[in-house]
Amino acid sequence: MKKPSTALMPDLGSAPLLEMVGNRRVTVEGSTGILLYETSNIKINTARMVLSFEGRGLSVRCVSGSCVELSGFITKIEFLS
Amino acid sequence: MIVLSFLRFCRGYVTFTAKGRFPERLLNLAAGRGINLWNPQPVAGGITGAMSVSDYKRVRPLARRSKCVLRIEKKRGVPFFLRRCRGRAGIPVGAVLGALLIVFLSQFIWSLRIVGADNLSETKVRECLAENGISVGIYKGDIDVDKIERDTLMQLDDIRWLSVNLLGCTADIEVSEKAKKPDIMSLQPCNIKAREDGVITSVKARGGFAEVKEGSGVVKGDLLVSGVKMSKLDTPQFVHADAEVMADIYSERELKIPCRYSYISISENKTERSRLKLFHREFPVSLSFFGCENAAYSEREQTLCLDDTLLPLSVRTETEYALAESTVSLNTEQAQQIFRNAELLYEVFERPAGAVKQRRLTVSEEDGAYVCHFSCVFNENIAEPVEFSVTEG
Repeated sequence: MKKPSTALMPDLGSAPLLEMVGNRRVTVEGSTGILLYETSNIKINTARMVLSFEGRGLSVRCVSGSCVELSGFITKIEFLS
Repeated sequence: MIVLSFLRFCRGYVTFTAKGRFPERLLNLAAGRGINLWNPQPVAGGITGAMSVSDYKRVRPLARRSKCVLRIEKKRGVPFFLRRCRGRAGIPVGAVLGALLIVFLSQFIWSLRIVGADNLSETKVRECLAENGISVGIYKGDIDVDKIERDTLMQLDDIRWLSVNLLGCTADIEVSEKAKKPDIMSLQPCNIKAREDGVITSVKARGGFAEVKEGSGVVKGDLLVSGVKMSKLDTPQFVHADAEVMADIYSERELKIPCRYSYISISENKTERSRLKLFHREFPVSLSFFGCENAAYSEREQTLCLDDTLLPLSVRTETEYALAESTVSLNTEQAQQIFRNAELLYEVFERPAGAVKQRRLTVSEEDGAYVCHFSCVFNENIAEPVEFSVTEG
């Protein structure tokens, strides 16, 4: 059987995993820390990039070593590297 | 979530504000060290949140590292309450005892509510339920709902189904009564016969063939309206006879009352005794004692009710009425009045459908007693349907 080309498959092992429920709740796995915590903007650091969530009434529901759960009305997500 | 809040309250927690240069770093450091921090909210120049008391001690060095100043806003939970009550041991002890008492008392049935017994006697249902093992004050662990439902249904014939629902300390008994069988008008062939002796005054035959006329004298059992008629072909026709046959009935009765007699009645002299009832236990409240030789007793119970819930606390009052014997000598007028009342009661209750056409009352005195002879003429319907079998020989 022909093996798929490794050049087309980037290494996703250290990439953050995002799970969203509409635009009201998001869970980020693979976080290394919160960089900014405001009601309109939350920035979360991961191994490869910084995730920026903008919106209204944003809050952190739960923080653990590698997981952050946010809630609020999310209007924009940016991937900053 | 409620359980979690309760556990946090039991362990004690503080709400705090962290203000400084890097409040986010405090969150990261706390998360990295496994410190549980809940409800973090951003505020101007910092964050607020809550954490348990033990974690707050651990988070202080982290606050210094993140250049933040920690400030406790509120202290909540059992440890802080106990600290406030350090010099007053009675308060926590009382609270614990109160909680234990509530736990203990919630193991018993406080009130029994019967729903749906409209025509059925509620007392009868309660007695039956008590016999089968459910009453006020019984331990909830001893209640076998299925057995109680089964046994009660077996004992009470008027119940179609019964359900025992235990809601906290209240036992709701839902009862559904059996529907009464409707009166079905029989259309079987029948005759109309005389229920009593009398003289016919009118005959209204709605079905069947009248055998008597106005003015006929009949005795009990005489045929008034026939349900059988022979046709022209000499074959019998059977019908359901229905008629109203009014007749004058002559009634004679005799009553006797002694001229002098004694009777027992309740006197003014009474004694009350009260008891406080808590579940099945009773405690005397008053110190009065019963002492009459001949007495009648009555009992009433007042139960404490709080927001439609009966509490297992009631006051039972027993009253003893002393009985007194009185002797009465009657004169003729009094005897006549008594006889007249007795006759009126007879007319109202024994012959409610009859109209009195004639009434005569004679009173005489014989051997130390008044004797009354009543003679009355009632006009009433004497028709009585009597079914017969068409296969009879």
